Amino acid sequence: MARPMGIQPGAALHNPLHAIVRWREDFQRMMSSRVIESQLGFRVTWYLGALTLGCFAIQVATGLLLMLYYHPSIPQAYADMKDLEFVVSSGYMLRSLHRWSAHAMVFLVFMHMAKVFYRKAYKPPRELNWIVGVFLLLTTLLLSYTGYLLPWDQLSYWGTTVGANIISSIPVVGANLRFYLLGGHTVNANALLRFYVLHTIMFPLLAIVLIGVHLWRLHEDGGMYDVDKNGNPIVPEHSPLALAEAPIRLEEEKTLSYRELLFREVIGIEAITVVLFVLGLLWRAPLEELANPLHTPNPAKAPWYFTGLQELLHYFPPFVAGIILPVLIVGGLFFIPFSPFFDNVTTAHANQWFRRKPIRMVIATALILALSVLLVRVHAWDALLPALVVAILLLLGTESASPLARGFRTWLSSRPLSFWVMTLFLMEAIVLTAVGTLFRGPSWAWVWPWGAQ
Amino acid sequence: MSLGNQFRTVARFFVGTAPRRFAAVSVLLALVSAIAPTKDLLSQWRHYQRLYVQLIRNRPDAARLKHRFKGGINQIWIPEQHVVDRCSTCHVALQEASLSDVRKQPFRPHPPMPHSLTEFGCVVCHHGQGAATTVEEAHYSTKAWEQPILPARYLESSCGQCHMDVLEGTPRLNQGRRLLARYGCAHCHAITQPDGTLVVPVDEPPSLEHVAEKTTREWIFAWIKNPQAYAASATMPNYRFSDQEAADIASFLVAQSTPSENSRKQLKNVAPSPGDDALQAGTSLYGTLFCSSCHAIQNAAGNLVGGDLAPELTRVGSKVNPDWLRRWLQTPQGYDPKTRMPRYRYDKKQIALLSSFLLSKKDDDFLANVHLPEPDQQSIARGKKLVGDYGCTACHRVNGVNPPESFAPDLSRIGSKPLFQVGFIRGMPETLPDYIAGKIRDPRAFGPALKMPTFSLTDVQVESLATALLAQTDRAVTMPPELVRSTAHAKYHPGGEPGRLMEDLRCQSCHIINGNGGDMAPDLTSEGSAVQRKWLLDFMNNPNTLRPMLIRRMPKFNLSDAEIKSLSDYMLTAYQASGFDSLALETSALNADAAARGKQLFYTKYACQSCHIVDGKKDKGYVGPTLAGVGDRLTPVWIYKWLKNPNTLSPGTLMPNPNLPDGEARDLTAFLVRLRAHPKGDKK
Repeated sequence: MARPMGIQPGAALHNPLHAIVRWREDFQRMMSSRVIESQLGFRVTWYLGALTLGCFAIQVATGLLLMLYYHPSIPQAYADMKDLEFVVSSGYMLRSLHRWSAHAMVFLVFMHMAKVFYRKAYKPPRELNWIVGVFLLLTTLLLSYTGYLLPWDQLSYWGTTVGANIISSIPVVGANLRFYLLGGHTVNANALLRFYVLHTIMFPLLAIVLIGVHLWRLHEDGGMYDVDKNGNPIVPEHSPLALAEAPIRLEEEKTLSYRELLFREVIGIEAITVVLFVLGLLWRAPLEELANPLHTPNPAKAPWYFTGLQELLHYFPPFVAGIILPVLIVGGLFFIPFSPFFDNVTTAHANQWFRRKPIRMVIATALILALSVLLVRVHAWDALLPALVVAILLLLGTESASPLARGFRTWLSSRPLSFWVMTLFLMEAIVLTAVGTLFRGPSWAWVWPWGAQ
Repeated sequence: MSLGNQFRTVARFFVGTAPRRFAAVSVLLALVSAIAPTKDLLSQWRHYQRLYVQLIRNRPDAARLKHRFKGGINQIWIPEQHVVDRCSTCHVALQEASLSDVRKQPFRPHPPMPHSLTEFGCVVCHHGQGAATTVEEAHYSTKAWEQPILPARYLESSCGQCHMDVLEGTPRLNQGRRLLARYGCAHCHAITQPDGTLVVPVDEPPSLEHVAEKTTREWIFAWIKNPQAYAASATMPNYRFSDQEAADIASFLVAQSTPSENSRKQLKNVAPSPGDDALQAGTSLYGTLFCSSCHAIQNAAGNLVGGDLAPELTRVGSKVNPDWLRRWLQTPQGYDPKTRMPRYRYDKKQIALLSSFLLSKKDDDFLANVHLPEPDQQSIARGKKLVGDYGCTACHRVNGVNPPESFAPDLSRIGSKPLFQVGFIRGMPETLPDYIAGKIRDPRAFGPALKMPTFSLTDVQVESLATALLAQTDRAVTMPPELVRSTAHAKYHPGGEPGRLMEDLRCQSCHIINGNGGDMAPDLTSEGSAVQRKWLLDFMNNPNTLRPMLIRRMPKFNLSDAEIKSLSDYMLTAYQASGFDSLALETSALNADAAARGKQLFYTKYACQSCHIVDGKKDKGYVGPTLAGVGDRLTPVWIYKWLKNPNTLSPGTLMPNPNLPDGEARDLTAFLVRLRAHPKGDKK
């Protein structure tokens, strides 16, 4: 790709000043070189990617400060939590910020993924970026999981134990994997040290590298993805994509330098920081009693982003709910950009899955019936609810466009199968996570969150 | 301009363009991030420290106090014991004795105590969360810390974690431990103490193997239904049996009864003379025999008069079979070999008079409404099952039912019981002391099908028991042995012929010898060094009192001269303290001049007559034993050593250490050895 700058690689060897200039260019690679003004609007992406990056930056900053006070040994870890809470100036704020930022990051990553999917920003040439994004999702979840153990209180200990036990249900290698993860047969001092290293060094390095790739790919793939009113993607002028290939369509709006985008992203990051500070002031990060291997709290819940899985575990055996389903989900996520069968961009009605209504009806009914029967068999009423909602929407959308058809139904009927799969997955995730976090009490019995007996 | 437009203009001014939005959000961020450090400056502990500075400003020693005050977070940090106690951050004046008039917390100084603050920290005694610096987290039970501050009424339990000896400053703990032994808790519950020994019960539940010859089925029924209705001071708890259950148990107990050794003996009665004479004579005999040293009877005013070592006799006439009573008085061990009652060697007249007196102690109302059907085999079988289920044989010996094993929970670590293992009653405070006290008060309230009976205890007794039990912690059990202040003694049984006599006479029911025995009467471990032979022989023949104020006295045993001689020789030989040879004191120094000086010291310098009587007509000192005739009673060496330091001879004695120089001690000894019961010659 030709570069407007004239400094040759290797010039730094002759003149150190040129290194700085080259560095700036490389930094520019991370950002889209040009953005179209319409792409700066909040409604385009809600700045979700920037907010996620902001959360990560907060995590790194607060995490480094927390590391000054923390020893990953037992029982010193818990005593350090007490020191942070009572002795360190604003220590409770550091800890609360770190905790809420972690929760926010997981939430924002999911939102960002959903947004990218629904705006179809995974289409070529952005498949690799989507893959990197899925890896980032997994890294975020792993960062959260390893960090959860570090306070060494009852929540930490038992949440980690639940997670580790799910891993052990993998056939053949499960028990060994659990042993490698924990460095032992139970969650103990080895596990704490191991999780500490994973959480503070290995996964953050991985995350930083992946984020770098993610941003670079963003730049290489033509910046932010947007479509005009006809559904055609907009590519800014002078973007690498525009320069590399014949542009699909050039928008003749005002184009700005990347600084404008960066500026707005900084505003977004500051805003999320303000929100997290306020959250930290209102609600302190919880700390329960010192971890007690002899006392299992009832219920022993995983962190909230895994309670959906725990809710599934209530209905299905660990191998299914803990291994098969997550593998299918993650595999499905990876597969999305490569799903030509599920959506097609080449023709007008291309997004309809099976043009003919009868076949659509048959397939829709069969899928929904199968899923519902399965869920009813295991009495998974809360998991059934999103399935039924999706079923209703599917049936609504199987009507072909008719003079009396409303816009919504037409729009529904033109959704690709990947849309339905992703929507079902997201709705299930939301419902199951909500149920697992709020509606489950001792012995995993149903409780109303407001405490009515 | 409309309001909406005005608002829009203002909004546009602040957030209209991206740079302005940036400015606005940045200002907001700066403000919000400043809140946390500001809150730190307003933290609770700083507030209390500021209050303290204000408090000491106007005090006389303000400068010194201000100099000693250290602001910031203060902590007691003992890494080896994992102690991080930040209590002194708010409680800044813990070591300022000059603030002893300040009552308001957190500025009250710590009351004097035998340990320094930095020796163990605060939490080991007071519980709570030492690492916290807020009131809520430090004092109360929160999600992060289960154990709240220990209420002051249970504080002595913390001393009991290390101390098993009887401490002066822990009355509740001492009482609680006595109650644990006295009310027979240790019959069902195993309680291992820090020195590894089990708590030994000191109550004496009678054997029921021969109960049918002692009393009736009706009485057993009434007793089981409510022991305290028969004897208010009975320590037997109430099992809340239904009428049917109590009748079944009574039937079973009567059915399983076998004849005792006593019942096989012939008893030659002397019929007492009828009429009031017998009763009158019996009453005064009861008094002169000092039965009330061990037994109590309610007098007309409703007060219990007598000791608590043996069963209350207020209604004994409604209970016992007269024939049984006579045999018992003659040979208690023939009915119950393990009884603490001595064999008094009463003659038959004494037995007859005593029996008539005791049998007159009746309550006709007690059994008036008890009408039981005839026992049948099913009733007896049900009774036997009940006896087994409710663990009666943990205390009483019963034919055909073995003592239960592991019947009740082990209480060795009850003080550290984790709360998640406790089933609280809805609405009660969820702390360990409340659980223990609540359980003692009403055991069966904690769930269905519980078997622990209800003991009749006052609130103070319940709290003392809870204090003693709260001392049974993990820390206590894992204490290094060299730190445990134990009072365990090896079992002691005197041997030989004198030993048999002492068993027969049950001396150790009242006296402690070599750490074993009852605490009603003096410790005899060093008696051989203390007393003179002649006095001892006279005393054994006819015990008289050294403390006229006391009701409970040593009874007269009707011993033969040979028995007296055997016992006395044994005591004088075996019960010697060390360092009491003739070299300990030069008796030549005890001359008349010394005695005169001693008398001065006695009456003038040290005013010993404030506690001791020498001249029965003039002196009114009733605190210590009378010293009239002490020259016949105590050996000179003993008197001398006692005067030098009473505590080494009798630890915990009330007599203060007068810190006498040797010369004064000798003079006083000289004075005292000349105080004879039957003075011959020069008394001075």
